[in-house]
Amino acid sequence: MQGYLLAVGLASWLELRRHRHLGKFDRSADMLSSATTPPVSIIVPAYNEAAGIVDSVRSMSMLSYPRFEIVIVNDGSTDETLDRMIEAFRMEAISTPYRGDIATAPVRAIYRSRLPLPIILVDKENGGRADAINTGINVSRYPYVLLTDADVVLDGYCLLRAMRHVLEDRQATVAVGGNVRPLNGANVEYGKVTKADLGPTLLERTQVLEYVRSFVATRPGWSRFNTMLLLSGAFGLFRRDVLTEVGGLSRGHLGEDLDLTMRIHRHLRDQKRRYRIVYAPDAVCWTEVPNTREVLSRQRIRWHRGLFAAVRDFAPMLGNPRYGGLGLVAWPLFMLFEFVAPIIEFIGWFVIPISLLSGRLNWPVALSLLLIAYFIGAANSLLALLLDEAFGYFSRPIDALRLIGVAFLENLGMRQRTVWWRTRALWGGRSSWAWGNMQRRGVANLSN
Amino acid sequence: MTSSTLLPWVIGSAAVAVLLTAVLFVVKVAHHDLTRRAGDRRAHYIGAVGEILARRTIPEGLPVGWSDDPIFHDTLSEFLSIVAGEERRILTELSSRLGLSDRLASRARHLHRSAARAEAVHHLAELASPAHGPLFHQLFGDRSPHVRLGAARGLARLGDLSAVPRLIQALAAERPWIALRMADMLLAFGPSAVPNLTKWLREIALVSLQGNRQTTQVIRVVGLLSDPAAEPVLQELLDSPDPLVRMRAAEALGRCGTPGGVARLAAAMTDADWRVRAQVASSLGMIRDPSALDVLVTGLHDESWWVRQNSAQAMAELPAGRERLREMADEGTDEIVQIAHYQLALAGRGGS
Repeated sequence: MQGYLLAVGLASWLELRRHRHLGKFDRSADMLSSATTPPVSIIVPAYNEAAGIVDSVRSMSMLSYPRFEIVIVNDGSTDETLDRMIEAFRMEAISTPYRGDIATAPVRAIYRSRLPLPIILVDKENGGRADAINTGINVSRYPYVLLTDADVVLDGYCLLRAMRHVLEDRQATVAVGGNVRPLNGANVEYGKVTKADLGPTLLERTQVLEYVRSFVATRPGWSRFNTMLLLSGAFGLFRRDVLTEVGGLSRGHLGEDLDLTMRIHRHLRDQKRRYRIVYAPDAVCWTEVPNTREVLSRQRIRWHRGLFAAVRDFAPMLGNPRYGGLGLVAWPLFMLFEFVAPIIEFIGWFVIPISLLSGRLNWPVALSLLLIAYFIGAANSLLALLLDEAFGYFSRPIDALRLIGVAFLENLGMRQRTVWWRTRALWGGRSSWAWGNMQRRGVANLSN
Repeated sequence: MTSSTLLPWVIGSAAVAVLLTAVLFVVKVAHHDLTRRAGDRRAHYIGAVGEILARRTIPEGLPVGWSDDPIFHDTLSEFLSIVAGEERRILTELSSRLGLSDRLASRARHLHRSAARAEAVHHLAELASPAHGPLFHQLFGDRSPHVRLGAARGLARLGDLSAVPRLIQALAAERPWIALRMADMLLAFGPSAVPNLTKWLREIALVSLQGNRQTTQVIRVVGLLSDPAAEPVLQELLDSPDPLVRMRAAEALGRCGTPGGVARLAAAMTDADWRVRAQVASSLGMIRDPSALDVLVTGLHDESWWVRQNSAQAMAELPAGRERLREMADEGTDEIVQIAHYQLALAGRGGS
């Protein structure tokens, strides 16, 4: 497994180096003033987001991008989400034509802001996150849509940077994923992250490291070979027509982001169309991560059940040469290391002590192997942090020491807990999709 | 396998982890320090240049290091891109006293790294004077697309119309991202580039009848330059066999067409491709000529949702069209009523 991480890390390094080279020529101002930059619809599903929805939308409305609209979909919230939006942005109900490209729960009303802001608010019956996003896709007017969440803070230039990849090859690029980072502890002023932070607790810092490993040391590598399996729900830019072709997001799916990305791959490869799904490491968005063990465990169990569903749904793609590198390499490796490995590790918890007690285990050899795995695991995390240095976050010496500490401590408890949650996800029945019930603090309240 | 054979692996992996720890710490501290220093220098330059502009005099004995510092080049370029008139003259004088143009020209010519050459030529483009014309022409043949783009920027800033044909060629030769930026450079020439662009459309696009990225970009640029002189050739392009070319031509006519050309545009509402019809409807709305009303009403019954929407939107741009929409809001079919309400609401004339 550590070898796999090293190999993907190397590919990511090469990809980030290419990005760095292109970044030297990044003239965002050119795109900002260009009439050739395509407009984008930002779709934000909201369920009981009254605490932060107004600040989030205000922050999004300040994005540096020539032309965009923000479509907020209130998914039958039981709190004051709708009222707060109506009041803050002087929304008024309008009678508007609604294209039912994708079937969704009934729409109650559509509002448009009386202020000179491109905001559309859709009020609909509760149907879950996927259904809310599908409604947003139906209402959106522009050829590209950014799917995001109500609790994220988007970097001012993230949309420009993501769309830059689209403009590099507009015919082929159907989706662009962004770099998601934990927001906990960060300073947010006027909807902009002014200072990144690692968060106050070890739990949050460990998640910072996990996100760095995933978004900096893994995804760029897969993107290099057009085998990105997952675009995060916090930042996924899609061509609208492709989304409608695949029928939008699957309602009730626990891993809807993975499911959507995989369905797009399958659909386009089945049709033998030239396409690419790319990752934009410099398109950064920030999201709150769980700060208690209970919420984190629920999140991880949900994620793993989503993965389980995807494994079941896309099993025919496994090892199938029709799907090229995706079916032969990326999907099998993803399954092996994300789905199978935790099960093997869990079984090991029982096999090793039993073997030790029954005298069948050569404990000096076992201890040596354990130490090798531990140090290589730490080395992988440190390499990921070195790659992350390209972005310049957490550059204070104290942050460096904290991250190094987390790299060594993570395997002493946190990793085992995650394995336990992942294993637990495999039983306990299929709970239906529920909107995250994490206690949000709201973007405006994050300033320290 | 024994523990003694594994011992070197244990020590090796531990050593790698320790080494990476040290490297990470040093890199982070060095990065932190470099970033802080760069920020300090930038703040210093912003303050110094700001003071020069405020006092409107350039002090004697400017520090020699300024002209070699890329951060100063960045700062000066940013100032140059936002000032005009007397302030621009002062900054040009400042760069002249520092010998900046010559240094940048030398860097653009001789540096090996393409990133450094591109940076130099982009900064030089901000300081462009007619004397730099030959250099920009030369750099337009550079192997790096980013240097070529910087050279195009310089030529556009100089208004050197002899570069327009090369820029048009670049729309086809460059990869999409650079080609889009080249199109932006063509726009930067302003209406003076229109004769060259229409000449190319007439001599190349209309003759070959081949729709491609180059043709559609040139049409788009012509449209954005909004010069009615381009109307005849754009009307001819409405007969192109390529629907994308017809669509772009319709869009450009919407931007620069005159009421006299409405009849030709209205005829295109019978185009076989719904994308062309939808664009024609939008363009008729942009021209805002009452004679287009009847054809727009026909568009409300088109088989395509987009054509119906765009026709209603275009009608809302005309006083008589809004009147028709009000009538339809009372007695049309369900969808027409909905569309009419929506457009009237957007036009701020009731509805909903």
